Amino acid sequence: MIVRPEDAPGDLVEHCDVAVGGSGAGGAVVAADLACAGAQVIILEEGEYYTGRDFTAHALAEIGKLYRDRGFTGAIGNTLIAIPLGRAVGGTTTINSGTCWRAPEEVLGRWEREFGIPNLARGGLASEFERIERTLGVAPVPDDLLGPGAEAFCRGARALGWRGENIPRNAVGCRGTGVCVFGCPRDAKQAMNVSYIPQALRAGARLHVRARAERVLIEDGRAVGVVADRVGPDGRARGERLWVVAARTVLSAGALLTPVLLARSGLAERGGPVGRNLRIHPASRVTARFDRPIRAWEGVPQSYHIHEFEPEGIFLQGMVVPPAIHAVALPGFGHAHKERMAAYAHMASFGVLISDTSSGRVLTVGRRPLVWYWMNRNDTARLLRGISLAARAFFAAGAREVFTGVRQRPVLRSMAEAEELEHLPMRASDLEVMAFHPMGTARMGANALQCAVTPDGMMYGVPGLYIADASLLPTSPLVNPQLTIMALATRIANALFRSLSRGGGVGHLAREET
Amino acid sequence: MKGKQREALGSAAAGQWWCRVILRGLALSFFLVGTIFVFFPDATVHAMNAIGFWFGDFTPLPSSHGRFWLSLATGYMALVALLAYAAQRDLRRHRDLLGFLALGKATTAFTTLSFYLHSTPAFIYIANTAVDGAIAVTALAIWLLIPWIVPPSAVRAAEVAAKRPLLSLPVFSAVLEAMVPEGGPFHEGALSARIEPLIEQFVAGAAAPMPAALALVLRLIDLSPFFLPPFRFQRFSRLPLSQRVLLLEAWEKSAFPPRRQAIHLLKLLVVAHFYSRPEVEARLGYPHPLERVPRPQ
Repeated sequence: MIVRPEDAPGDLVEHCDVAVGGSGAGGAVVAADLACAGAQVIILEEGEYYTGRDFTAHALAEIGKLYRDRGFTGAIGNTLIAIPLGRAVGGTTTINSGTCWRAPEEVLGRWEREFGIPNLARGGLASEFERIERTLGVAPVPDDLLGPGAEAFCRGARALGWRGENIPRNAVGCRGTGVCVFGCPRDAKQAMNVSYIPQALRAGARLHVRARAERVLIEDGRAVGVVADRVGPDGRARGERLWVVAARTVLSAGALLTPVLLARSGLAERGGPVGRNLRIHPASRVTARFDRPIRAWEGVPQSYHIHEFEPEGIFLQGMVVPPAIHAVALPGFGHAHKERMAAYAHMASFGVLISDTSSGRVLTVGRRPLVWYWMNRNDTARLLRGISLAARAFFAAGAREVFTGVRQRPVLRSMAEAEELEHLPMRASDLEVMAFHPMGTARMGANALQCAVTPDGMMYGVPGLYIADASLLPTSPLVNPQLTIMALATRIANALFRSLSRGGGVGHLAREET
Repeated sequence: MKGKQREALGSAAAGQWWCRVILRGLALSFFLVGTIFVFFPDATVHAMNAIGFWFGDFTPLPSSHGRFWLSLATGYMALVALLAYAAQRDLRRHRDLLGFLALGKATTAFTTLSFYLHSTPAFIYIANTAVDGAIAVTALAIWLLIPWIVPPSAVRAAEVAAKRPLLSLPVFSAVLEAMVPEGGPFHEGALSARIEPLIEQFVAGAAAPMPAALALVLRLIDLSPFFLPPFRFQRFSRLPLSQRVLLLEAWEKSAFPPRRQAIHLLKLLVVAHFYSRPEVEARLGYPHPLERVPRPQ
């Protein structure tokens, strides 16, 4: 059942077994798994519930609808880094590209060894991965949907002898509309809003949309629910509150918002691990102009990936954006910029993403996160190398010029210039950086001094409070983290269910209330 | 409109103009005097002693080493400069600030008078009493005049402008035109596309500081030709198109990251709104995604 503030206006008190704050990759899985197991689950989501019929494929309209603060979320530090986040049922899965990779074995092994999270490596998480992949229909992008932009890049990469592959995605019946990041109008992408959340609703969960979690309710040191502000369609508080009293509380607001909720609830100790250790995947894009028309928009935007530089933590992934977003990447103003945009059909872009070694911090200012991130020299150098590599692949594919987003060399016109680029001295602020996949701000591990959450997902020192989102990841998983978050959330749901059963059985609290 | 009404409106406008000029002058002089105080504290005292000696038999004041008090005085000068500046921006809405300004100046006038009478009969004390007393009286006079010279309609217009800070700035249109001018490969330009209200609406939905930050960036761009290369001695909004494009490019290539990031933010808003228009997308050969791949029935 979906409840909007208009359906039941005024202050509201609800009781359940499990309150889940957030409906992204972590929250949706916990909610669905527990609801299917018979628990009474209430999900709170700050955004609205949209599905394919609501998505217009119009970039700005959808950014206004689906992105937190209209896409103006980010980090400050030695450069400004935009970090787009979703604000709708499904969280950021509603606006991502649908890429679904398992965390590599070496990363899981490291988490097991260094953070004491048991049974991850050597296939320990395989059953969770398999189950999720089955549910989401994860499969590599078919060749006919690679898209002309990725094909051009792929030709260049092959000419340079680089290895690559079609990206595995959670898309069923995709026909390459090409607007994944603005909500899939065909509901082909199996984001949480069309997969796990409907599953949870069918199993009896209640979903309160436009309910912005404000803090965790604590009684005698134990989490007993969540209080939320109910907000109008414009995102402003209506002056009405929703109190969800629950035997177990799960926070799944994402790596930037979960620390804020913990701090507002008085659960982030000064000097403690909450809010620290923020990791992101800094990224940039490279755009090439060809003499021949490319029509890059025909196909899946993030369809192809280059493996070659993974050992360096550099990932080259396909990307296509509509003219509105593409125009920002082209340098210049006036008629010169317009001339460049007129050649939009002749252009193709590719994304560069690195697994960071820098670390940031999430501070709480009022209700908002203030993200501090200092990109170190190593990360800056690797991102620059990634840009240089992508430019080389485009030149190898026959590009006439390449736009880099690098202050000192915004336009490259030859392979030699592309090769030279990576050797230039560069500061982080010289690059146009955005980032994806914030994580690690309430990391999971066996050491209570270093980590905020036990390997079972429960917050240290706060019985009844669980965390299930990207905050858990102890380090960067090297790849897009959606599948890893979902796998860990599956485990947490199991642990939660066991703990609920021990505490008097599922549904006991709701039965007591009735 | 009758002759008398027109005359009254004309004199009210002239009154407003004078009030603004006086307050701007005060703000500038407070700023300059405060700067002189902080950088040349001893020279200020010596100069005032010399002027006092020329006027008559005043006791010279020794230079002081009280740097702590000097720092407080500098803060005070900055504050009164800001009060005068803010008051002239919107006389009716910020009328109360003039009361604070008058109070501050009256306090220093009375304090220095008291020092003159009961401590040292130094010229600098009595000069300050005269100057600050005059400023206090001027501020009070403007405070009294404002209800007579600023009609309520002007207040409403100012309120509307305050709620829509971007649209009220002439530099906004100048930036739009420079970013995407008319002509070239296709006729449409950002100005004729009337995207200003759309940008304003979009920004209003972002986090609270965003509209104010954007308004600040626009104001800085407008004044930048005076203090940033390539220098021009005109506001950005008054420069010809080709010069404006050059200036925006200088912002984009700047080695100072905040300057580059500010223009990048503005560019994002302008070009994203312009190039998301269906007719412009069609000019680029980009078919609407749902026309190319229709929704399943």
